[in-house]
Amino acid sequence: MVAYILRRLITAFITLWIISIISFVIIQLPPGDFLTSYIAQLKVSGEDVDIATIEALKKQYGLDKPIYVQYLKWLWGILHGDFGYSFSWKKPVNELLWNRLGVTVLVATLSLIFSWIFGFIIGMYSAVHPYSIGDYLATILGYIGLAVPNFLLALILMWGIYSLTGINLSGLHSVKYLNTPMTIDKFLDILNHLWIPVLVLGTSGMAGLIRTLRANLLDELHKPYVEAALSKGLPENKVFWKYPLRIAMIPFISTVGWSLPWIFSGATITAIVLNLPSVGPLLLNALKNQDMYLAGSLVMFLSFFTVIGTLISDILLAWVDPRIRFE
Amino acid sequence: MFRKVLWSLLVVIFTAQILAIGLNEIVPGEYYNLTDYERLTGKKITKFNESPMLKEMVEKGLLPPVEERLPKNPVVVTPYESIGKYGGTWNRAWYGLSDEWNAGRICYEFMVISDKAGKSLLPDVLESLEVSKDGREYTMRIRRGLKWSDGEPVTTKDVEFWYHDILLNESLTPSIPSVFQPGGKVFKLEIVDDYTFKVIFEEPYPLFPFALAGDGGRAGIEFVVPSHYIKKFHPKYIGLEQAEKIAKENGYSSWYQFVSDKCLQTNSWLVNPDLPILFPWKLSKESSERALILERNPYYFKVDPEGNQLPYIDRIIFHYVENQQMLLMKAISGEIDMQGRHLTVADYSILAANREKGGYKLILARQAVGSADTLMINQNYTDDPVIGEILRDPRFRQAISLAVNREEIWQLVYQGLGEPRQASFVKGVKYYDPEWEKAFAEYNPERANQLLDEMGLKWNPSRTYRLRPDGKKLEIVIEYTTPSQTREKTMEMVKSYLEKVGISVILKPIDRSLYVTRLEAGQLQIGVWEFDRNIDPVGDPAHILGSQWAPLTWQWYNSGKKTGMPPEEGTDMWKLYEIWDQIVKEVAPEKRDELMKEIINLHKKNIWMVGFVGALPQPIVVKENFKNVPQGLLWDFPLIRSPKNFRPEQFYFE
Repeated sequence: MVAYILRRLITAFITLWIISIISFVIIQLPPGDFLTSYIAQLKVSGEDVDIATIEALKKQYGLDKPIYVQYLKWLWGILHGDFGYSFSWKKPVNELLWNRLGVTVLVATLSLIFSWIFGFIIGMYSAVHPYSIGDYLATILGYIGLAVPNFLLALILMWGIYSLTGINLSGLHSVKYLNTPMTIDKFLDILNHLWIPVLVLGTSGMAGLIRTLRANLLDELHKPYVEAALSKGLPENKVFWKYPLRIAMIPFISTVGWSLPWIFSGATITAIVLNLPSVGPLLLNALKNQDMYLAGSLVMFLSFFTVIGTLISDILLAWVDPRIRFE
Repeated sequence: MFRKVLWSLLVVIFTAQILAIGLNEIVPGEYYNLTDYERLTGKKITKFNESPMLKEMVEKGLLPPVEERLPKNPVVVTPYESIGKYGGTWNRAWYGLSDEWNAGRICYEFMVISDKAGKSLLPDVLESLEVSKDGREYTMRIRRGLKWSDGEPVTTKDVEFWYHDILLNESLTPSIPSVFQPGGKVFKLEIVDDYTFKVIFEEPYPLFPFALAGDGGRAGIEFVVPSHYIKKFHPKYIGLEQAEKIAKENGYSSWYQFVSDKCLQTNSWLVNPDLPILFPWKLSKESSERALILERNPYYFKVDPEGNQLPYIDRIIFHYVENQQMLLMKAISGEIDMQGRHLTVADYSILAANREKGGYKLILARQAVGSADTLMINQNYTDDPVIGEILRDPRFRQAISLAVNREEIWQLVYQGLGEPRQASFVKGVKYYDPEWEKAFAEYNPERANQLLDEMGLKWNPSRTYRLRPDGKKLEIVIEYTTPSQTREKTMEMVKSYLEKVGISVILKPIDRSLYVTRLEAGQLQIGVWEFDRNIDPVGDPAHILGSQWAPLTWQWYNSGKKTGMPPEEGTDMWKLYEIWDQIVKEVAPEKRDELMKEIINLHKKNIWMVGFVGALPQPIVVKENFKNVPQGLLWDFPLIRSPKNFRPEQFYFE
């Protein structure tokens, strides 16, 4: 087992290194660099920058150097815990990342818990009572959750609330609580804003869960080993929890690793629609502005968690499913 | 007797000065030197007041009294409606640091500043500006007793430092901006006394005052910089080793990167709360990524006619939003107190419908935009020589213009807001020309067809499209970015009109940085941009000289006629640049205006830019209790930098 984990770690490290090269190259692919996109942005909003200033800035930011030099400089920094400098925010990337991580993890964890709890309960219920009214209701709910894009649901909720009450529930808290210390009122206000992203992100996750769990359980429930266990007089409950459920959860566990990067990136479009200060919108803007170091570091960051998540999945899988003992 | 002579002498000097900058009557929303204000109104301002929060600090001994903080001759701002009250927080929304001008256009001060319509220059940081008869020497006087936001005085020491240690320092200024070196020679600086200095050019430079009111005279970046602060990081004053050490500690690889970023860029004041500034509001230490917070500058040098130190409003908060839809949401739910930036005519109906719910009113300004979506027909296009020839034929451009039904676009896309017109200067600006506004702007497809026939562009046998001289299908690519919802719709309609006269069109919406890259390489056939900046074509000639429709020639001109593509001799474009060369040197304003007319005549005939709808209203959301915001002003940049021409420091909450 230790050797297995070690081997996986080494490949993970190489994967990360390759990802870093690829992401750096991809970010550089569109023509221009941070400054051209900055100038374009200024031009759209009616400002202008003269050519001399641009040349000076290029030199200052090191954008006149070849891409591999920029890459090596960035990599060298990362190895020393320095992720480089964000052009568009004029701040070290580290700072930006930590500022947003709290909100991202909070929202994602809450919606993950939401979707797991409800997904499990409903999924098990509809598998045990297939083709009942409850099952049909759950199925309809699940399909709606799957079919409606998150951002659309977020938009509908927000617009609905606005047109009913005239209140804008976007962001993390009301405008008046900006920079005030945490009080009970502020906490309640945050909860009042937070339920929208949790609900939106939670329902789509939940829908997938319901369908997977139901299908797998239905397969397992009527397999001979279950019948055998039941006929030998084992209580129904015990059989259910001990065998079919455990097997039905395998595909679920093998994908649990993916929720790790999802927790950190958040659902980008939903976060943009809801104006949430999470990592996703930061990444999108960094890519749009060709803010190299910020975009590169975010991609690295997310890849890191995907790799770690997959590793965890693999180990869990090996532990849950006796059929997959390593080679 | 002696005293009398001296006095009349002083009066003479004085009159000479106000000829250069300032107004001779009292107009709401303009700036006056206190001395001029008292002379014009006969009123004396003897007592100065300040915001209660500053008064408290003075009483505690944290600040000197207001009289000592104001310069000897402060600027008097005449309010638009009424004298205001102190206090309040002004909420706005912005897109983060890349949207720096959201704050910059409210706060930025200049050496001299434009009046609200862009017609004359007013005193700002400079109390007076004198020009020698030959247009070579500019004598500038800084307001005596003017102070940086940390209380340090502003003197010619700051000017000297800027000139020698920043402008002429190759690390900090690798290439000197062209406004400071007309004809390739940097001006000479002469310090007269603590407050007076002279700027001397080799050749006459009559357009320099325009530069001083714009990118050549930004307070804190040009001419006056907080030298006492920057010296703490400059190797000349602390040694190279120490300077590099400070930079490294702050995560920069060299001292000049650090100094440039933290002190000398247009957005330095928004990332460095310690940087001394001259603006009404300065960066608060409470600021974060989520919200940029500005708080009043206790040393701001402007007062109202009752001697109240401005600004009235305590704080401005710019709430970070991810996109325009979210900004709109904030506006209609009443979370924005006053803002026009990032709102467009496309948002007009939703803004109007939610007025009551959000508790705001809609104020309309007039954009100085001759045409919002303008076809910029590239005169430098060479990738496909046949198409290049066609684009350079004036008949082709005229035909395009005649083939489009502007009235229909105006009604369908713009819901009748603004006015259908050719890309030409708008009403109310100095060089407005009604003939240009109408030139080839009627809907006349027959004449368009006639012109295209004359060019020898024959129809294909089934008469569905026209053929190029080499027999291929005539197909033009129009590339554009989509800053607003109207551009895509307008272009769809333009495509259908052009196809009716046989010009096939491929529409290509592209990312704006790709657009800029392709434009500057001369690769666009037809690009689409705004024909804006109508207020000051002499100070900012980019559009009329072809930055969008002849980008390589514009580069040629800007590089001192070294790189890029010169205009072919004898062509109208060549004439355009010939005339422009004269305008730049012309000291007499009347002669300059005549030459401008010639330029406009060339445009009327050539239609390098084809416009459809312009002079659009700029919607501004203003909360019911937010006062002193005027209706109907012009909205433009860079000269009047709206909403700076609304005078934000005199806004107040009732």
